Amino acid sequence: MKEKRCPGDAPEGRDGEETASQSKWSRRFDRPLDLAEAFLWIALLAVGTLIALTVFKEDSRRPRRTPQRAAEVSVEAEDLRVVARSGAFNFWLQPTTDFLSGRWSKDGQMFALGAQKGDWIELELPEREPGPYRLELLLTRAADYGIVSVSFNGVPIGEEIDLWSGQGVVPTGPLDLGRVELRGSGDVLRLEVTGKNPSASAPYFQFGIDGVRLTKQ
Amino acid sequence: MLFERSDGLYAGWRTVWADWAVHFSYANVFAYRPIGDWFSSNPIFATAGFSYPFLADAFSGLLMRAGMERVWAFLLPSIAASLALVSLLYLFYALLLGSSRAAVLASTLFFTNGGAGFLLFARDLARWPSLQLLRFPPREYTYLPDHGIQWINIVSSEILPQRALLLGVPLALLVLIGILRYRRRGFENVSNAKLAVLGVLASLLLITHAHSYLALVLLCGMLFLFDLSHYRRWLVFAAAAALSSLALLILFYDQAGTARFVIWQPGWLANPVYGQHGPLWLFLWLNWGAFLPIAAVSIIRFRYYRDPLVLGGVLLFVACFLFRFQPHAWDNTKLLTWAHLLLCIPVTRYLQHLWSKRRAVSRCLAAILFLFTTTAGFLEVWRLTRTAEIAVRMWSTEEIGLAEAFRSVSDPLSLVLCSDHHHQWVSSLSGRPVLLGYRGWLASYGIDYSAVERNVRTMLQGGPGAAELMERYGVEFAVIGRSELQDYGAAEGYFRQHHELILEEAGYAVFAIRGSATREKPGEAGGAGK
Repeated sequence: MKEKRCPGDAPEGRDGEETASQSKWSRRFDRPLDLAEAFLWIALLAVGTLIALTVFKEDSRRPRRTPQRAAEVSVEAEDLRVVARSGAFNFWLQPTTDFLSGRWSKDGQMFALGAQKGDWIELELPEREPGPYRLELLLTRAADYGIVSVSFNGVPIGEEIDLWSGQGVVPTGPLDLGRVELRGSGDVLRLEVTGKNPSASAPYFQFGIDGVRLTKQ
Repeated sequence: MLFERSDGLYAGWRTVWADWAVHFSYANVFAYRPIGDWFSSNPIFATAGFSYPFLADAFSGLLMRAGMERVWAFLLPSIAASLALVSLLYLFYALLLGSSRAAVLASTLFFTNGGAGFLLFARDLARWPSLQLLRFPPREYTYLPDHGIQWINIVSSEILPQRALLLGVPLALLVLIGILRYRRRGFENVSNAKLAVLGVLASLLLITHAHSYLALVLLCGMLFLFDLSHYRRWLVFAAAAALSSLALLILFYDQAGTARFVIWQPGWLANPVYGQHGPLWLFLWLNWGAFLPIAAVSIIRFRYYRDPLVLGGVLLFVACFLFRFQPHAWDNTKLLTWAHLLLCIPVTRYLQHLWSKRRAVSRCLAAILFLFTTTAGFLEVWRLTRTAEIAVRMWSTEEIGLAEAFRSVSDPLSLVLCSDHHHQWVSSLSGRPVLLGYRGWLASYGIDYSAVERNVRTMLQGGPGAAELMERYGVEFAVIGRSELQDYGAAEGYFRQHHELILEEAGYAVFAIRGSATREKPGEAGGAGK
């Protein structure tokens, strides 16, 4: 049985094909009209892109961030090479522009999402002149972060660091871990989750690192 | 989506983590309760009846009842419904757009909705140029509430977590495809019985997905208005649908929420009440990108304003920007999903038209418009594929063990007093009803829980009148854990002194409440306001 056409059915004929009803005039101006159509669309998309990027750059609806500056780092966490790690937790770059209680270097941190107690990660520092350095770590505190211990080239350094915070997501600022001896290459920083603050909320054991500050002694 | 590790049960994505806890509670009703008590009380608000569209969770619950493991009992129906959705969506678009290529394009547009968020990804990539960003986009680029982007990708926000929608949309599509095919034949050789079956199928949406039901009613109404000459055949379909809908309403929805569901609220989430102060056009551009301008141009260019389904899509879209259809405004997205599904038709038609011109400039334009429309959605869907790494634990192994132990010492209808913690294991894992479940869900259903909340607090704090309240509600067990102590100031000492401790594990203490002789009927205690 032949089906009858109804409103909403697919249009007949192939798109763009010249039909008998099309006038000579419209055929003549078809190409310029296509160009004009493309131009109008590109102009619209360009303006829209500019507007969107302006909104993303400075959103006036959000409360203004305090005009503080991020603490300077020698090595961005983003530039630390992951040598090895335990478990299946993710370690990825997290933009920190949405956190209004502080500033992170380059507005981002490396975030250990879903880390569990006992999870660890080893990060290799970029090559640097060997010798004694003062090592400071810039980490992040949050309600669902755990307690971490740090070791450098296999040697534990500093105290355990409780990364829990009841005041939202905040940078720790430089945490002095004392003097270390850099080999110059293949220096490995290890962070291990050792526990959680009793007030921590699920998933309890995450951590974040903004960067490392090394000062030649 | 959902998997077990040695240390617990994990959701592969945050929206699954957020939504499936309550779906577990609903499925447990069908898995553990006697059949006669399935709808006697709401598993997360025991003083009210159970009136959530339950079909998807009933499938999972019945599979669990038949002995299937919880994870597979949830995954299998979701996989089947996903396959049905993809297939029926393709058939629907193929029917309306007339070619398989167009159907594939339209389906792609549907699943990769997203706005201008991909431009932020481009900026992020410029700031941190690395492969890591491509491997795992650091943000959800269709969900940037600080920038006013809240039209989240349909796959991540609707299809994966919302089990009711995942079953409801294919069911509605099945009915629509049937109706469209019959209508195209002028209803010739279509028996009334077939139309009645379609009507009954349509009514099943009431217990599957109420938003799809509403959308289908509107779309069938539009189709009817454009096809008045066959009004008798339409009446058969409508009568069957109305009668079975009425029966379902009486059976399952006799106790609705107390809040007003439909409220005039122009602008949807762009309304200043939600903290958005930009103009509506900016909200639309950031959330839909080039999709809406293309749809508008196509509707005019190809006269889609004469198409009942596209017109229905436009009406749904406009309605979502004029009214709030549920207490939680974001839930308008469930209707917007339908509007998007229908507006993909003119958008596909326009892109197809540009491509078929066989000119470089037109094809480039088609490609650019396609990318502008889908890149944010593609990024979101790509991000979803990393679920094994961004999984979120729902419950620990200890909590799962505790829930099983509790199930073995309690009856299916034993009422439990505990906090309304989102991931409370009592209703989600052990399948026992709680007096007060997560308030976020209750509010979104329009349930006024304030009186019960006050009473729960009083009971947990063990203050004057606590024993009487427990007696009145018929509380049989109380759970004291971290949330009860922190959020409700529970007096653990009171329970240790007055009630028998029957289980203690994973930071929880479970007490048997003595003297709970009677169980109140739904509605009595909650409505008392004491």
